[in-house]
Amino acid sequence: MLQSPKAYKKRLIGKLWLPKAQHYGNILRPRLRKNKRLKILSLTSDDNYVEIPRLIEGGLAYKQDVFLWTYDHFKKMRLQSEGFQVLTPARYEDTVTKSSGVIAEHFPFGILNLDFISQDPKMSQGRMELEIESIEATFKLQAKSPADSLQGFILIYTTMVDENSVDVKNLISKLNSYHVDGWPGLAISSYPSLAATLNEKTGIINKVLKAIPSKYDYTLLGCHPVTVDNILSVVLAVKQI
Amino acid sequence: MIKPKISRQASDVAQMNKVLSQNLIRSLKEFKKEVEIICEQSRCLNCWSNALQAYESAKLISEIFVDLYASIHFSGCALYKYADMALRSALENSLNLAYFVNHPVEFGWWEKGKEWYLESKVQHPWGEAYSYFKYLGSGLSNSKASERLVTHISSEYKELSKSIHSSSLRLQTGGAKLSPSVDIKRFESWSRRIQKIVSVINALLILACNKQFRDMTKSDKNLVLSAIIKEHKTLLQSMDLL
Repeated sequence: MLQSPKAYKKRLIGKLWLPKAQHYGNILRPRLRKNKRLKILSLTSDDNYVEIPRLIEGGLAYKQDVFLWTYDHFKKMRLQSEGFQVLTPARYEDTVTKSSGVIAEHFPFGILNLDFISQDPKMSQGRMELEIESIEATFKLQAKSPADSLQGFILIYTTMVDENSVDVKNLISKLNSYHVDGWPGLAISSYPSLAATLNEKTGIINKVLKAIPSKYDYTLLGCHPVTVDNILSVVLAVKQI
Repeated sequence: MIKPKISRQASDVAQMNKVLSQNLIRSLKEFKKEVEIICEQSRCLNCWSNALQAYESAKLISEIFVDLYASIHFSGCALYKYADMALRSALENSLNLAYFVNHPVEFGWWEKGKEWYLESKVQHPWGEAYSYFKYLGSGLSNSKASERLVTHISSEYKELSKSIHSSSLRLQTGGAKLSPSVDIKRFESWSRRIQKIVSVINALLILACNKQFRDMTKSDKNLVLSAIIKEHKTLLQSMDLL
């Protein structure tokens, strides 16, 4: 376990998030040298939003293009008092899978930092499955939104891997229920029923994340998973075909 | 840093900030435990915000939150009368939410400032003596319980209205004292009242949005239930709403 709940972010920013975001920012916006002007959505916390100044200082965005997400009203108020735009106080995974219309107008984003740990998740059966479903729903929203000059995006998924097994069969069925014309769906037979260990879970998550982009006509530029203790963080970069 | 100069009149207004800040710090220290409980209970609004987010009227939850927040703040600053006013607003917004969540068309009118019930001489959305909320419980296993819940709402509303209508016992100033000062009894009385109001708000929302309450995660349900006092919980239980 991590010694401090805040420590994971500091380590991941330097090790994964920032270098990969800069790398793919250069690919998505090669002509913009000083600032990549990427619109950011970040699930974050009022007492630890250090990723935002780092992404801004790293030349990826301007503050006015940053949208924050927190599930809590008190936290929303505190973040707004720091001059940030903060979206609906609710659980991102519930909003994007059940009420996506509420946030659709803000899409598309250039960087989506889906750091579910920052939202104080409750460790329960089905949590990771819903988070992954929310990534599928995020892709759907990104693809459906009016095209911008970027034609691609960077998605960072960060989660706590707990002792609950991942119900892979159910997850695949859920993902397949997001219908796209001409998409045959993920073959349930090529996945195990359950993922119980850390290795099994990270393996399944990586496999699923790599499969989602092509469904929405994106080509995968790169997929970079990192595990720090029991935290899994994956950076995914995609570009429209 | 150079302080921008303000006029004498403006400084008369700004000087109140000093005493209010002192009061706030003192209240937050002296009533640390009460404030923590109240803030924690206010977090149940996050659960409702999540559960009702698909509804247009869910934006009223932010308004209820700010009313509660303002009430906590005013009370901390020893502005007890205004703390009650904010509480009544929280209760009104909750009643509106409980009605509009199932009446999206009327919500659209209301949002535009239209008071259709005045124009067509139909009843106010809450109905005569809150009859709409009695109606919500009428088909349930214990309809008397919903009437009792409505009686609670009504009596809390009346109690808070005393601060709006300047009842002699709810004046902000006392004797020759003009500047607000921390008053333990008044704080404690407000503290009991806000906990009751938060409880009423949750009970009311469970009555009006029972399906959404049942669909909440276990931890969200528990958070909502922790904000409801025993008396209200018993009423909800007797209506099979929990």
